Amino acid sequence: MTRTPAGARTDLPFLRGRSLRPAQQPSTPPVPGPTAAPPPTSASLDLSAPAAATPPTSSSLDLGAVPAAPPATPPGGTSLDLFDDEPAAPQPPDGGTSLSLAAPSGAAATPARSPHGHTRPLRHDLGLPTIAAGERRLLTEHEPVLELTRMQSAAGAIEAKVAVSNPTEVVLGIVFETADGRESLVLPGLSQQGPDPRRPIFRATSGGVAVDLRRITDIHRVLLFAVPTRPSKQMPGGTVTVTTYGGSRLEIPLVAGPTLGAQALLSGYVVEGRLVLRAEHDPYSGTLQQVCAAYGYREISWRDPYTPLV
Amino acid sequence: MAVSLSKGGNISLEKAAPGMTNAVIGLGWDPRTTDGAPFDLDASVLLLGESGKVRSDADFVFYNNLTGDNGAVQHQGDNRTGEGEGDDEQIHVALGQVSADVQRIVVVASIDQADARGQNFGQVADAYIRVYDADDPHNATKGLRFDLGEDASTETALIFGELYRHGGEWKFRAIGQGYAGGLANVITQFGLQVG
Amino acid sequence: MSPMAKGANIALQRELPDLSGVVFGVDWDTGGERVLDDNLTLLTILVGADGMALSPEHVVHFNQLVSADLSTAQLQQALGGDDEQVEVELTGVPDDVAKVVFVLYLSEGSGSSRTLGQLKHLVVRLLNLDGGASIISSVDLADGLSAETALKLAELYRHSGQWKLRVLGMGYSSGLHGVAKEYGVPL
Repeated sequence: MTRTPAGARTDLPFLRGRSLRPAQQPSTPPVPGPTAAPPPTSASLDLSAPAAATPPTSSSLDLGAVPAAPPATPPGGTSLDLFDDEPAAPQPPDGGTSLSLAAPSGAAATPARSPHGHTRPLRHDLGLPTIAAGERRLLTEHEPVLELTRMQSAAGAIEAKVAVSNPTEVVLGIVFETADGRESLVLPGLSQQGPDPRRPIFRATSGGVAVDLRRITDIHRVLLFAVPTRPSKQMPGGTVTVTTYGGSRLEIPLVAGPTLGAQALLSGYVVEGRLVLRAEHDPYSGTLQQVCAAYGYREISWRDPYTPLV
Repeated sequence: MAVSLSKGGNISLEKAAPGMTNAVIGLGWDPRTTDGAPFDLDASVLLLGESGKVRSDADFVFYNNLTGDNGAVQHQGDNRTGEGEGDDEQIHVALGQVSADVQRIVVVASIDQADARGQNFGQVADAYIRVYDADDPHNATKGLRFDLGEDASTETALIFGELYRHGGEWKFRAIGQGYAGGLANVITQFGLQVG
Repeated sequence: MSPMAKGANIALQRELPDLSGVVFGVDWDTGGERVLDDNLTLLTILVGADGMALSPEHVVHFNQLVSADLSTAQLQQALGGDDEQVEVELTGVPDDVAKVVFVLYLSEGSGSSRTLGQLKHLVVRLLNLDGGASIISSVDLADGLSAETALKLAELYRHSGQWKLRVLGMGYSSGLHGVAKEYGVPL
């Protein structure tokens, strides 16, 4: 992929040809025009489940890949793109991860209740790959997504570590939005723990970052990123591993090459209590500020394009 | 169908196992899955004379004295953790060979070092003791069984019951009396010196 | 009645023939130790005859508050002084559930390690789901704990067709791993 410091991409026509999505649903907010240089926008994730009394609406969780078949959208559906399609991440040739979170047709509108009033929240089968305890999985461009179970999303911590030949050349950080809508980030050298250092959810570790899943109910979404430390901002090649309490291990390649200061690695959304992870394989690099904005973290204040105010 | 005994229950095996001549006393339990000292349950018998006491120390058959009454009573050995399928400890009693002056055979279950280890029957999963006929091919589902964790839960020793002579036959009386303080506490009442 | 010792059991429906449900409550005292307080986590497992969790949907915890069969539900906010409470509708527990096991474990995601031996006090109790009257309470289960990071508190189980409660107070130093392994809960 070609990258230029000015941000104008020369490979867009190629990408757009590959990423043409049939029956693209209207997205909110509007997609910027193809010649726009600014970083892509993304919308927030709306998981409003269809309510009993209102006409069925469809919430489509588009994880940025080409859908194999466009999901049926009833009129008036609200469909939200999480990731703008330009510049798009490399598209898998087949197999989509576009999902409709509409309740299955014919499903009871009201959830079952026990005599004492126990009910379970609506559960939508996202149909995403899962991972077993102790299993290793390379998150490729073809299969970038993984869904953790409710137990996996609640046990111990998720630990991300970088494996490169010279560990001092890159640090990992994590930008996040909590369930109450606050955004912040953790980055060694800047902010070791957050959002509240006395009771952190996220913390820098030796070699990476960790997320305390005892606090999963306080998390809305996260983005793991890498920052090269060399003055040249050159990213070393290597691997980033993400490990769960059960010993499952995800591997994300760290691609050597020039950067503008930061590289998005893995995004995560908490969907109905389950952590959905997506390796970004994003060739677009930017300053840390640009990367945060590109992924929709717009509530953070910046000292300069590389330094957030935390 | 094995008769499940409750504390204080009193059942005669006369009808359930008529003419039983070779009794098996079986003790079983599940090995410990939690941290801490393993559960070491012990089966033992006391051979009592007319007086209701043992004739000698040799009449106490347990993990440290495996043979009693000239071989009529045979302990199959100590299991210290409960590993293994089926009964973890067995004592065989050839009733036809028991000396004439032995009138009662008392059956005891206990936990070794229970007090030091802070253990009781209630903490041991699936702990039971039973008596059944060695010669009955269907004995797995017959005989008498006491679930130690249910009625003797906070205790560490239990007199399960006794085989006794009556009118020329052997019968069984269920007792189900639990004790704190372990095996030592039980056997002194039968004339044994402890320590 | 006097507090139940570790290993003790009680036939619930003998005392209360009409008992349709219970609330299991846990009350602990960490002496104000915040990391301990924040990481003590309750786990309730509906276990089949084979000793294993019926399914991952039959495991109740803060991120899965209600079991698949709806009988068992952890309260988001415990009432009346307990730190955590779980409601069990006994009449709604499926027939293939042999017991309901209540486990307390220390979540290990904070980077600081603690043990249950650091607890000053730990008591469990059972209330009538109907009306909230107290049925039993346990002795202090913190007694004798040291390196344990997960503790089987108690279990509800069926015996001769009746529901009983047994107090356990036995644990592992292997934390949630140990519990998950014993009951077949996939991590």
